[in-house]
Amino acid sequence: MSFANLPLLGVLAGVAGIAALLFLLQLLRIRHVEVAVPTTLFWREAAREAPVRVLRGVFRHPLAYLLVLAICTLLWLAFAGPEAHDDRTSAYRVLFLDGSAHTAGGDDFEQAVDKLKADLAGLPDGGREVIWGGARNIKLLKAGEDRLLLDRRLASLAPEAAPSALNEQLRLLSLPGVAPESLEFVVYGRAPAELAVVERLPTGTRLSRAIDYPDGESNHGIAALGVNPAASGRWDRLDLLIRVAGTPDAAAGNEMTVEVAGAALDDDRLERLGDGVAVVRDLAADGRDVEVRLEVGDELALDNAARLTLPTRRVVRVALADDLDPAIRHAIEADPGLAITDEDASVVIRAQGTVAFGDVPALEFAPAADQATAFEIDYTGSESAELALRASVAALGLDQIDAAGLAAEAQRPVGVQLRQADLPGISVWEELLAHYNFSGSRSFPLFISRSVRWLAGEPAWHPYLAAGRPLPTATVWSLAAEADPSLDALGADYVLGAAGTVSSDRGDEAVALLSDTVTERRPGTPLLASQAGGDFAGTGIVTWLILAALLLLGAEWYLYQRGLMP
Amino acid sequence: MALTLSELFDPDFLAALQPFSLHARRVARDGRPAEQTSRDRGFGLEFADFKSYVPGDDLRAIDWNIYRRLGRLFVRVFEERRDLPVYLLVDRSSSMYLEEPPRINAGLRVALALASIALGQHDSVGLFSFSGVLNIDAKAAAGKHRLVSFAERLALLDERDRTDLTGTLGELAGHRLRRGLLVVISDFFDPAGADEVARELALCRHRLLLVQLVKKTDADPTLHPDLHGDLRLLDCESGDAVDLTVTPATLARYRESYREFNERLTRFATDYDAGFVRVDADEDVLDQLGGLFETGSLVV
Repeated sequence: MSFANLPLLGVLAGVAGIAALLFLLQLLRIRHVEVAVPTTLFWREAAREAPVRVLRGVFRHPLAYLLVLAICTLLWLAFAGPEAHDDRTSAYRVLFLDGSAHTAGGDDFEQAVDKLKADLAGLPDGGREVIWGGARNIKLLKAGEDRLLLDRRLASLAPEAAPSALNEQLRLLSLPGVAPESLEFVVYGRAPAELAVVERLPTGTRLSRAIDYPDGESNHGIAALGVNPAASGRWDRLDLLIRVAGTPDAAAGNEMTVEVAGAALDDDRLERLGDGVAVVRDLAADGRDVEVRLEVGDELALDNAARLTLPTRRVVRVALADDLDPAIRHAIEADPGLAITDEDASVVIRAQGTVAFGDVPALEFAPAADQATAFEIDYTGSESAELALRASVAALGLDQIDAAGLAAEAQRPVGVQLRQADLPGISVWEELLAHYNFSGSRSFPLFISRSVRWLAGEPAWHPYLAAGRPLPTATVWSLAAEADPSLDALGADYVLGAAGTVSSDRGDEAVALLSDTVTERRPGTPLLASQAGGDFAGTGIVTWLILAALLLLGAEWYLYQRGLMP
Repeated sequence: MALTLSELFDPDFLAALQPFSLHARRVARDGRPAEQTSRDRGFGLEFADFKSYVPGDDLRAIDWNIYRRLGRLFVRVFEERRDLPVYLLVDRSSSMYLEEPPRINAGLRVALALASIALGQHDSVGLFSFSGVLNIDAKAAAGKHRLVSFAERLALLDERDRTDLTGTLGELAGHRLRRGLLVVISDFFDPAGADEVARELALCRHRLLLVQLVKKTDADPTLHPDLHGDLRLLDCESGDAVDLTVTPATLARYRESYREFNERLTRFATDYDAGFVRVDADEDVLDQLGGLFETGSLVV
């Protein structure tokens, strides 16, 4: 047994103090109310039955004293907040308030906050903490902090347009040495937990949900919004894909408005493919914002609109020296994103040692005798050569080259060397084209195309930006998500926060809440629902103590009425 | 607050007393001619007896039929009707004036009612008041016309200090009043106790009618709004204080004590053939007098 509000010594001192105080009160002379009566003739005899108490008089009514002492002691113990030492009540408690879009519908969030406050009142300050689970998990109330601080901190918070980060918090707990020996983790809100994550929780950690929310609520929302290079083949055009998810029928959410830079598109531009999927074809890739709004009224409004910033795609102007292999020109001409020019070129392709077209980034071909490695790359960034190599191999399409075949043919290793320089540049053995049939390989046009774009500094573009998910990148050739080195120098995923705007070296881009889990209002793993309810045993003991005190008060009143107590 | 003359002298109240009468079984000799049966023989209307003729007897009273049969002279004697002296002894101690309404109000109404009835049948009525000492407020006199002045004297009674009924009765005995009906109107809260009061009343040579003025809080103190908890009870007459805690036990003891007091008064009235009526000062006096004059006539 321990006490939440007082140390054991304080509780015992309080009981002793109460006993002494009541003892003195029992001895204390009372202060009479004076009443005039016609005669005291009959009262005199009655007074002999109940003489007045005087201080230092004989201690009377010991049983009555014990009864009052018991009542006061029970109330004192209730105030002290006793806690039974079983596994559950002695556990450290993490109260996770879900501030994600999962709990943004109706009054779910208000319910969760009310329940959290009610439960918090029955918990010792030192044995709990409160975590805000929005786009990022924040510690809202640390262990030992007064719970009165919570109101002020909650005042500026509202559910965010992002999926819950509950699973990340639970994954953290499953790491060795993070969770205490006995932990009760209570979720306030609808944030779902993945079964796999729950199963990995350490022994001694109990997970429960404070409120048992009903399933199957009707809701529709935009679950996907992204762009792809236009199927028409036009380089400066994009196809926009919209997918509406929801229950019970995704098609119910087909009524939507698409605006580009604030101007609504004609409905006939919207091609509906069924199952809530729609496509807008040949949108200009000019960096404008696209906003899609669903014309539905449901409790969750956060997923009824989504924004996307269209990538900007421009044609790269390439200057070609005269004495180049014709395969290079053919590769340039085959790429609609590249244009051959003699003026204002962004990139020049030439033989090494020439100065044709001036001081611009150049793809040069050099004799193998003058160059130690097959590919020498000059990069301008500040990152290490290792990181630059890793990024450039994919960016230049070098991973697609049959390096082993070329090496066998050249009878010498085909390698890549990187060095820092003021201007980006790529230098390649000219023998690879002239003698080793590199120009005849399928990877050659890819290498030329990517190399030119890399030299021109064309940034990667984002096919979509979804809240709470890693930042994807795409090149012209592939939609595969890749780490964006401009945002993630350490190589870990850069996870976007809530829906809104994200800034990078490419400027501001719109982020949308695109989550099937949020839109379909999935309740999460049944394990949570089956353990709903956040009442704590500490509160129960206090309740029982107060009930016992009330019972004794009732007994005292009864005895007093029957004349059995003074 | 005690009644004023206008409040006391209520024509409706007096009219309602008309059916009531007060009869003594026998009044003392030497009274004034009136309507009460007396021991005097004389020239009344009611035949009482015969007696031998002695010189000086009224010749008109000789029964000549008896003389013809027996040859001796007898005269018829008649019962003389005399008045009943009614002495109203009204308690004016502080306890009679304490509560609201005060007991004295009911006491004055009872006194006026009995005076009205007695004067109405030509009896004489005297008014005495007492507290620590006896006061003679009106000597016994008859005549209906005296009712107004009697009411005035009642209305003039004011509050005095303590009750000394036992001393008052002793003092009254010293006045050698003609035997009559002594009506004691009081709460009987004499510090000497009910036994002493009864002992002194037993020595009284008058017929007795005891009118005990009570209030509901006397029998049940819980009806009193202030009588709960820890109290210092102050005797309004003596100023004596009694400290106590009102509990069911003390209330029970009080009730027992009060019951014994009432039983002692009742037992005295029964033992000494005295009239006894308990009048609730909070209720209508007329209704309660109706119980005393159950058949319309009170015989004392």
